[in-house]
Order: sequence, then C-alpha cells, then structure tokens
Amino acid sequence: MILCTLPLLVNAQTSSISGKITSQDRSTLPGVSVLLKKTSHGTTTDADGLYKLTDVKPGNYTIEVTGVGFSTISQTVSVRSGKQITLDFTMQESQTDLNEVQVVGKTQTQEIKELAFSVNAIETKQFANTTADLNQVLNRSTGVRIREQGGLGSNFVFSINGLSGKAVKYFIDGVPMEILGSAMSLNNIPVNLAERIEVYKGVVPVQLGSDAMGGAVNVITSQKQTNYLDLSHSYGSFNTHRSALTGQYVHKPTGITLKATGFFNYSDNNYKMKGVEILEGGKRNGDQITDLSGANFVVTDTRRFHDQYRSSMGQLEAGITNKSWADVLYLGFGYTAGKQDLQTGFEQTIVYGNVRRDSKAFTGTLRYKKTNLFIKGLDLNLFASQSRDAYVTTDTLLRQYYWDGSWTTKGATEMGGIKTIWHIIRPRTFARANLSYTLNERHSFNINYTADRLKNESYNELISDSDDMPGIMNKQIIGLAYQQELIDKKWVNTFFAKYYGLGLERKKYIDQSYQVIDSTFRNYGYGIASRYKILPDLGIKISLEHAYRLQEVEEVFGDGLNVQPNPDLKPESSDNVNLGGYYGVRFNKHRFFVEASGFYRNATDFIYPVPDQRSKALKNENKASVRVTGFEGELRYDYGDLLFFNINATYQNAVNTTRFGNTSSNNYEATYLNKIPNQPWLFGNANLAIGKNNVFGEDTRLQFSWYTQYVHWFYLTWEAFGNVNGKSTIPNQLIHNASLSYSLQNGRYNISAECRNLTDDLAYDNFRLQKPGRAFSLKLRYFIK
Amino acid sequence: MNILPFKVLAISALALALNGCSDELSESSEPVKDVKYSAVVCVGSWPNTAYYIADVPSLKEGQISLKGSGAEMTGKVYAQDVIQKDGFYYHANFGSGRFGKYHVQNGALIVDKEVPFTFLNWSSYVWADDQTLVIFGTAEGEARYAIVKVADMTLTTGKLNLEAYPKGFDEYAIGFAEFRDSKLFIGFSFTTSTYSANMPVYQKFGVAVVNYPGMNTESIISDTRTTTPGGPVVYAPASFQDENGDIYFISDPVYNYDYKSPSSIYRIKKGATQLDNTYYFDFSSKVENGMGPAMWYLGNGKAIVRTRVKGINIDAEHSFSVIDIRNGAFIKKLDLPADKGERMVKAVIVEDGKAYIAVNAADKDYIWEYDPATEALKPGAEFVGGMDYILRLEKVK
Repeated sequence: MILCTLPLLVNAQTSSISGKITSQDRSTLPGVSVLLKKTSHGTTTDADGLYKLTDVKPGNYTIEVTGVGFSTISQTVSVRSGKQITLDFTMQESQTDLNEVQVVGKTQTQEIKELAFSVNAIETKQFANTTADLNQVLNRSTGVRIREQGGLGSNFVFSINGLSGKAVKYFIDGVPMEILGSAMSLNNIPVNLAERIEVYKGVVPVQLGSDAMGGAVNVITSQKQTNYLDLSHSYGSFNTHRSALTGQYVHKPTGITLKATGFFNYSDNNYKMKGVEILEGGKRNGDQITDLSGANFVVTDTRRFHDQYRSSMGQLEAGITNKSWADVLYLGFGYTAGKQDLQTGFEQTIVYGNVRRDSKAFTGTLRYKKTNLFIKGLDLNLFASQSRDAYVTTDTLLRQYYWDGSWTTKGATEMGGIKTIWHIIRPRTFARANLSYTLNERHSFNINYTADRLKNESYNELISDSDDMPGIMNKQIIGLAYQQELIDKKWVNTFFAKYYGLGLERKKYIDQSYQVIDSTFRNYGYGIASRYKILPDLGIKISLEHAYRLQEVEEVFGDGLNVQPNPDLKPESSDNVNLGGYYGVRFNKHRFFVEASGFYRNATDFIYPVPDQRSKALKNENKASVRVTGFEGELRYDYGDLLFFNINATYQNAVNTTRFGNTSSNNYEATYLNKIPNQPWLFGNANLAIGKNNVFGEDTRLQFSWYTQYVHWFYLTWEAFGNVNGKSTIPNQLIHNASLSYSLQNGRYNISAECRNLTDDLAYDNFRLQKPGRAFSLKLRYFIK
Repeated sequence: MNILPFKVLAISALALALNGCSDELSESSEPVKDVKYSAVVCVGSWPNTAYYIADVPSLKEGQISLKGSGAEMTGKVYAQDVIQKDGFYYHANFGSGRFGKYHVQNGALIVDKEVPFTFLNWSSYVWADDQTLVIFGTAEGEARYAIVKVADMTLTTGKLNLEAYPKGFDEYAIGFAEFRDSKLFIGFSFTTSTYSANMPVYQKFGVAVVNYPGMNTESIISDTRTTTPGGPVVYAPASFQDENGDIYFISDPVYNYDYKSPSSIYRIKKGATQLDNTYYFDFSSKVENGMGPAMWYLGNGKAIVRTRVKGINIDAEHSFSVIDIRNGAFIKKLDLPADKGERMVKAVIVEDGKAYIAVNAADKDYIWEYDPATEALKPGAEFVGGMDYILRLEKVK
C-alpha cells in the first residue's frame, strides 16, 4: 500500500530513487529489500529505514519492496534523465507469513557486525533516553571492560580483550578524539551525541590510521543530511547535571548545512564512602587538626568530598553538501573545557583535598568528502585540524587530608612532591586523507594517510614560565588495504599493511648548551581479515594483525623533571588473532542473534613508567609481556518493538610472558606464565527492555529497561603466591540498574527516570577505590527530525 | 581455539551463581614465634610487582618458596623500607601520612596499629632502647625526628638542628644513625629537592651529635673527603658499633649523584664526639672504585660490605667484601655468585659469629653461610621459584 509519493525535482547529474520505509505504527523499517524488477538495481534500507538506488537509467520500472512479516509492495515508477525521485512507503503487516521462517535484511550495526573484523557495533538509539555516557554504554558490550576510579569524570582504564591503556585509541568519526582536547573523553560524552559506536578488537581497519595495538573505539555521529535537533538535560543524585545538544540544519536548495554539538556535565560526586578511615581526637581548629597527639584512625562511612567535576564541549560546523565538486565540505570550530577536583591517589588511603585539574582546548577542523572523484568508484575523504590543548594540575598545599575533609600539615604537597602548578600545552596539527577505489563489485582498494604533529610543553609555573625544551612528535601512518569479495560476496577478504613512522625530538641541555636530540623509528604492521557467509545470516570470520603502539615523546626523552629519558625504549607490539562467528534467525517478530568469538593477543614490551625511589622521578621502560587468550559471546533476542533482551559474557586469561623480570637471571621469573593479577577475567552483562507503543494515547511509548552487570572477583596480586589467608581481592560486583521512560509524539518529548546500583552495593573496579552507590536521575529530552 | 558461545554463557551463569569472597581477618596482637627468620621478597614485573614476607625456618638449609605461603604486603604495606624488631614490622608511609606497626599471623600481615603521621619522610632510624624507635627524615626543607614508643605507637616529634644549607641546596639527605651513651650520631649531606639531569654536589658531609632524649644538637662533625654518610638506611644499614663501642660508618656518594668521591669508612671512637683522625679507609680504592651501599659487623674486628661495581648507575651488580674494620684494611672479596639484586638490600644476618648472606644470583638464589674463622663459604637455604628481588633478611626471634 502506498500512502505517499512525493517526487522532488532537484538538479543532479544522474537519476536516482530514494525514500524512507516505515511500518503502520510509523516506526522505521531497516533491512527491507527494495529493488527494480528486471534490473540489477537493488538495496536494503538502513537503520533509519532509508534507501537509495543510484545511477538509474531513464525508463519505466516496477519497484518492489519486500520485508519479512509485511506484505510486498509493487509500484511502477517512471525515471527521467537527471531527476531524483523520492518514494516513501508504508508497509502493512502480513498475516500470511506468520509461520514462515525467513531471513531479513540488516540494520547498519548488524552489517558492521558481519564485517570480517572483530567488532562491537552498538546502536545508541536504545540508550538515548538514559543518562549514560559512552563508557557506560560500552561497558555493557562483550570483551570491553572499563575500570573507573570513582564517579562522573573520574580516571578510567579502558580494556579491549585484555589490552588497555595507550594500546586502545579513541576516535570520533574516524578522527582521534584527543584532538578535541583532554576534556573530551568517553566518560563524559553523553550518549545522545553518538549515533553508533564501533569497537574494533585487536585488528583495526586502515581507515583508523593509528597505532591502536589493542583495538579502537570509533564514535559515529549522525551523517544524515537532514534537519534534526536532540536536546536533553538530566539531573540526579550527587547534584549531577548532564546536558547534551546535537542538531543540524540543512538548507535544501543551497545545500548549506549547519551542525552544532555540545554537552555540559557537572557533578559533586559526593557519594557515600563506606568503611573508610577518618581521624578521631587530636586538637582541631576548623578542618585543621593542629595537634595529632591522641588522634586515632576509626572506620566510618562518610560523604566523599572535593570531587567536583565539570566539563563542557561545543562544536560548530558549517559547510555545504551535495555539490558536484564536494559531497561534503565543512569548516568547524570546537572548544572544550574541564575542571576537576582530584580526590584520591592510587590507593584509598591517599586522600586529596585541594588538588585540581583545569583544561581548555580549541580546535579548528576542515572536512571534505567526494565520492566518484574524477572517475566512478574513487572516493576521497579529507580531514585536517589544528588544535591547542592546555591543562594545568595544581598541587600547592602542604597537607594531608582525611576522608572527613579534615587535614593536617605535611612536609610535602598532597601528591607527595614539591609545590606545583603544572602546565601541559599541546599544540597539534593533524591531517588524514583516505582514498578508496572500487574497481568493480569484487575488488576495492583503500589507502589511508595520517600525519600528526604534536608539540608537548610542560613546566611548573612556580619554577619557570615556559618549557625551554618541549618535545615534538611527528607521526605518520600509512595504511594500504585491498578487499576482495568472492563467491557472490559470500567470501570477503581484506589484506592490509601499515607503515608506522615516528620522529621524536627534544632539546636537551648537554655540555652547557642546548642540543636537539632526535630519533626516528620505523615499523611495519600487517594483517588480514576474512569472512565467509555460510548462509545469508550465518557467517564465520577470522582476523589477524601484527600491530604496534608507538613510543611517545615523554616516554623516550622524559619531560626534564618528573620523567627521566630512556632512549632505548622500543614500541609495544602485539600479534592479535580473532576467530568468530555469528548467526541470526527470525521467526516473524522473534529475532535472535548470536555471536561468539575467541581471541588471542601476544603483546610484548609494554611501556610502563617505573618510579625511582632515589630521584623520585619516573622512567619509562619496556617492562612486561602478556599473552591473552579468551572468548566472548552474546545472545540477543527481540520481539518486535515490545521486548529486547541480551546477555553476554567474556572470559579472558591473561598470562604474564615476561621471562626475565627486574633482575638478570638465568631462571624464568616466578610469575612467568602466571595469570596477570589485578585484572578482571570473567564478566558479563544482561539487558532487558520492555516497551509498548500507544499505552497512554497515540504516538506514545512506555519503556522499562533493566540492566545487570557482573564482574567476577579477582586477586589484587599474583594468585599463586602468598598465603591465602592474607591475600587481598577485588570482590564480586553484581550491579543492577533500571530505568523507565515515556515518550510522546513519536519520541519528540521524552522523560525518563533511572536508578543505578539499585541495591546500593559496594562497587569498586580498583582495589578499594569506591564507585558511587545507589543513584537516581531524571532526564528530559526533546528530539525532532 | 574453541568457539563455544554456550559454554561462555554457561560459565557466566555459573559465575553469577557464585558469590562472596572475603578478605576479612581476625585481629591478633602477637607475632607467631615459631619462625626464627623472615625475608621480604618481591615477585613480578612492574606494575604487577608484589611484596611478601616469606617465612625462613632456617638459614642453613631447606627451601624458601612463595607458592601458597608468605604474607602478602601489597594492599597493606606496599614497601620494602620496613623495620623489623621482635617480629613486629614498622613502616612510615609518607604518601598516605601514616606510621604503622604490623606482624605476621597465620600467613597474613596484621595491622597492629596505624597512627597518622605526616611530619617527616623517613630515611633513617635507630633504636634508643627495645621499645623506643627514633626515626629521622625531612619535610618542608627541615631535618626532623620522631621518637616512637612502639608499645602504643605514641610519638614525639621535633626539628633536628643541622648545618644550614649551602647556596643552591635545599634538602638534607639523612644517612646512618647510631645511639651511644645518651647521644645520637646522625650522618647527613646536602642535596636538592628537585631532580635534574645534572644534580649538584656539595663536597662535604656532616655528622650531628645530638643528645637524647633532649634532642639538642651538641656539635656537628664534618669532613670533605666524601659525601653521603650512608644512603637511606631504612633499606640497609651503613653503620654499626663494635665490641668496644666504636662507631663505624661507610659513605655511598653515588647514591646522591656524587660520582667523584670514594666510598669511605670512618670511625668515631667510644666516648668521642669527633671523627677518629687517625682512621680513614678509602674502601673504593680496594674494590676497583666500587661503592659500599651497606655494611654489617661480623664480630672480632671484621665487617662485611655489600659492594656495588663502579659507575654512576646504582642498579648495578653487587658483590660482598670482607674487611678488617679496626685497621681499615681490605681482606677479600667473597667468592660468591654475582649479586644481580636490588640496589638497597638488607642482605646479611650475623649469628654465632657467622654471616648469612642472601644473594640474588643469575642462577640460584641461596643464603650463603660465611664463617670468618675458617673462611669457609657454603650455600644454605635456597629461594626457589624465581623470585625477582630478595630485599631484606630478618631475624625475627
């Protein structure tokens, strides 16, 4: 049944047919097949129910729209030269094929899951009415474990299949996230800013030109050429405010587009700390304990203090779209700022009461995209940016704080050193060019080039007013990929190679004069990703990569003060293998999807800053090697738009493969082949969402979501050593979260209430560094498109 | 590699069913007295280094292993600068601002008491009596002390009056400390509070003579032939008193970035408050310009020096030298495997006139027995399983 047909006359070189396919209840239908009968033209709708058939020759056609559970639509259409036709369809549910078993088309996230790479593709739409930030969304996915030190904005370690730290790189639309400034981080980006998140595990496509040895997270924002506005604000426990804005205006006749993105986060993070030590007794003057005689530690519960966090980001992009010489040309400007109280040292007993970090960053960006450049099948994608990130860590009080906010004087600053107002300034020029060429249906090529120049200035304002020996990093990464699609696209192979070029320089004071010392490193990585579809919805895949994580300027040359140089440092490297499969099946409205994979990482030469007791400085060394084997699996089930359920689990066995440790020895060190301690190795998540449309009136939706996360307990230190009586552990975490949301006018107005950590369990990812207990929040969201 | 999604889910279901792991410990106030010795050892590469206090039943025989035994220190006292007396361990943690007393019971490290302590960052100590520990350190540019009554961990604190800083220096490095006849002898030299690639050296060291318990500085001895009269002795000793009550101490100039001065041994005779001008032993000249980061008294006028090979690196190979301390003469380098261990190790226990020396060797890690009377050297108890560092050997009883 055709409800509307709206031909639009727009100047264009080729004829095309495009449109949107919805169901009767106006929900978009992804995976619906659209084809022109008796031609090779055909496609399926994307996640938003949109389709486009391009390069259609003039003539009369029959367009056929088919989707499982719906009646097939046929309509004749007449295509004239150079005209673009828009055809929207509304499909009716069919009663006839209720018992039919059929496989249907896929959403975009599902298509990504069917890539040869081991990848989590997460559609964020389902979380849009929650207060989650991207970390919280990602933490529910397989193979990913994020360990946070505290509440909103706290430091975290992101691990993908057991590799973490600098081995994992973050991107927004393929561009490194850090160019937007240090205030931009997965723990503060609201979920509404992203349309989709992709997590590449171990094997990373060349398009993300980076030394992402352990994997990469790519946040995809909306690339649609439509008008939309998504505005939300939430308020919750611990005086937590989170606002997000993303919107776009396209002036159709001229193609002029304005895109705005922004967020604001604030929290006091004054949640209850359970079982912490405070001082009782002693002589006091206000918060100061002037005399410690008679003061004793007692264990109590107390409110967390000095942990305010504020971050904000704004980005404006303006440009034009759909010109003959450019699909997209945008100029952008971004600003991020953060203010953060640093609350705790590496263990719970180290309490800070005044240490602060402020950051500010400016970014200018240029984005250009052109498909079919000069010849058909040649696509160019350019990005360039200039940014300046600055942050200051202030630690100027000679105090020791306690958990109740009281303090005593101390012979060193809170962080244990001399007074510092420590500036780090990082001007950065980044450019990325990606050229892809599709020779034919079977063969395509991609070349990706990134150039990244970063200057790192750091100095203590109390000693000097600039850094007279800043470090400079020049990183160039070239990636080459060749993709072949064989046997009716059932078998897809991607072969790739990467060149990592790194030039580092820093001035150094040698023999009473400054000399520039520099070093160049060249490394080559390579890999392959392959997928074979046994059935249209059953596939197996394998991917392998020999990958690097390059040294950073500070790691090699030191910072002249806190970090000592180590010119012998090597890059970290790893051999990564993924082997997996997926299967999807649908019976009418019942849809199942299961995926599982095994992974192997053999990483060597991890770079760690090792503290030196004598100089009180750090020195980076290639310290350890690790081998991770593991497997992960996920099962999803949904029933129409009524019920959504998924459960996943990850098991990873990381063993220490450092043969010789700190001492030169002929014997392997005790921990060789022992399980790496202080690292989660078994964890899982379960999500359940039940929603119903038109409960309280037309175009409304009421949805209840439940989410449980489990992390199995693990030892703080080596399992095999020490008497079991005295061993410290990070206990089991079983955290439940629930939310209820109500939408009106087809999702234009949304209100949701949420409770995290329902049972108020003691939660910590790191030894005794407590995370928030039970927290409530309310979110209002306005969304129009 | 197996792809077993349902196994994964089954395991996770099992895991969800499992629950509970407690690290609660029952408090007790007495160290177990059936173990005579202990060793502080470290395993694992950074950042997964873990410290343990291992039971050492005998120095002469058997094996010392951490497999399922040894008290875990990580998470409680993550440090190697722990002072042991009568089975109690003491540690001042400047980072978290606390001073604690601990003991090992049933394989667990028990906290006897921790008191807030932010007054100084310790580097040196001496026992004034069995129940009184005097610790020394620096903070806010001052040299400071604290007198600790260890029975109830009560503290008295104060400032040590040392020589004023020469220009360009703003920190004291406090080295050895000895207590004799109501007087404390505290070695110190000058350094800077911030690290730089070219650390300045002030070619002089001092020994403060401080009355106890008054804690007033009576005089300051000084000398310019070397610097750093003992590194941080909370890690390893650099001084002792012999049977005559004469104090001997050794310097380790390289520890504070002085690459020119030798490692020298000095004497302060019984009753004197000056260096013995007739005595000066240039130890470095006898060991190919090596250094002496730690020294123990063997008895009968002999001492043993943990000897570091020459060079600016303090993370270098060590050996053990026997010296005639009274006459300032070198006797011999012990024929032991090269010690590849940590820079500051409390490696020696002297018992019944014999030295028991823990050696972190490339091959096997033994506690060697050295008998100065017969000059016999033989391997005793062995550390097995591939320990990274043997940090302290302690006589608990």
